[in-house]
Amino acid sequence: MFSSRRCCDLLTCDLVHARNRGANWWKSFTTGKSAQKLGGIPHDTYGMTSLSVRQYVVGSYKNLNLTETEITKVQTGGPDGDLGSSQCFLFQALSARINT
Amino acid sequence: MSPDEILLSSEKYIAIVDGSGVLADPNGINREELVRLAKARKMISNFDRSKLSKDGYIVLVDDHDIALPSGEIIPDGTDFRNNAHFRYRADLFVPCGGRPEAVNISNVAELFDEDGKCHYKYIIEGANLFLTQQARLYLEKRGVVVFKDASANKGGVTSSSLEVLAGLGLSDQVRNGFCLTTDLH
Repeated sequence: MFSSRRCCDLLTCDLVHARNRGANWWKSFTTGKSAQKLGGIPHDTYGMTSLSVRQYVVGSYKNLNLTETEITKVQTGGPDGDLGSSQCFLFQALSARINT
Repeated sequence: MSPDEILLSSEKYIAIVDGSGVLADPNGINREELVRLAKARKMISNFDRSKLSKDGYIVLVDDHDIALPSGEIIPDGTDFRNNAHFRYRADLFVPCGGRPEAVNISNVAELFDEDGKCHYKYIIEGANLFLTQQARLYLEKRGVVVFKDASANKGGVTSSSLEVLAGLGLSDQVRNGFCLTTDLH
C-alpha cells in the first residue's frame, strides 16, 4: 500500500496497531511515510516519484533535441501538493457535484 | 510531486490547474511567483494577480459569471476547471493531479483542433489514470508522444517494492538497524 500525504497518519496508526498485536507483517503494510517512526525510505524527503516523472520529461527533451526554456507547458496538480493533492482535487470535484 | 515539477523545471508555463481553480497566462506564468507558491505549498488561488500579464487570468472554482481578458464569460468556475485541460495549447502536458479518466475515448477528440492537430505534442503522465488506455492509443496513433503513468511515476513504486521486500524479509531487529531514519529535518 502506497500512502499519500494527507492520510498517512491513519496508516501509521494501523501499523502501530498491527505491530502491537504481534502481526509480523506489519512492516510491509505501507511504505514511504513516517520513516522516522516506522522505518523505510522517506518519500517526501527524496521525492523518488517526482524525480522519475521529471526524468521522463528531461529524457524526452534530450531524445527529441528540444530546449527546455523554449517549451510551453500545461500542468494539472498545483503548487500545493503531491499525489495527495489529486485526491483533494477529486474530493472537491465530487463535493461540488453533490452540493449543486 | 507537482510542486517539485515546478521547482525542477524551467519551461514556460501556459496554465496550471489545481483544486482551487485555473491559473493561465499565454505569455507565460510569472516564474518567481510560481516558485514562491511551490515552496510554500500553496494553491494557485494564492497567486498574486498583479504578476499576471494583460492576457493572464485566474478562474477559481467558486467563481461565477466572470469575464476573461478576451471578453469570454465563464458561467461556472468548477466546470471551467474540470475541462481546462482541453482548452489550452502547449508543447508539453504533464498531468500531476486531477480526476481519474479525465481524458477518455469519448472526449479525447476535444484535444484536437479542426485540422486534426493535437493541442499537445508530448504528454507525460505524472498522476495515475488521468488518461484511459484507449485515449492513450488514440493519441499515439495521431503522433502524440505519450508516456504512461505507471512508467513515468515508477520511481516511488520501485522504492516501495524494495521497502516491502525488506519488511517481509528482515526481522524487526535487523530491519530497524538498517531501515530506520532518525536524522531527518
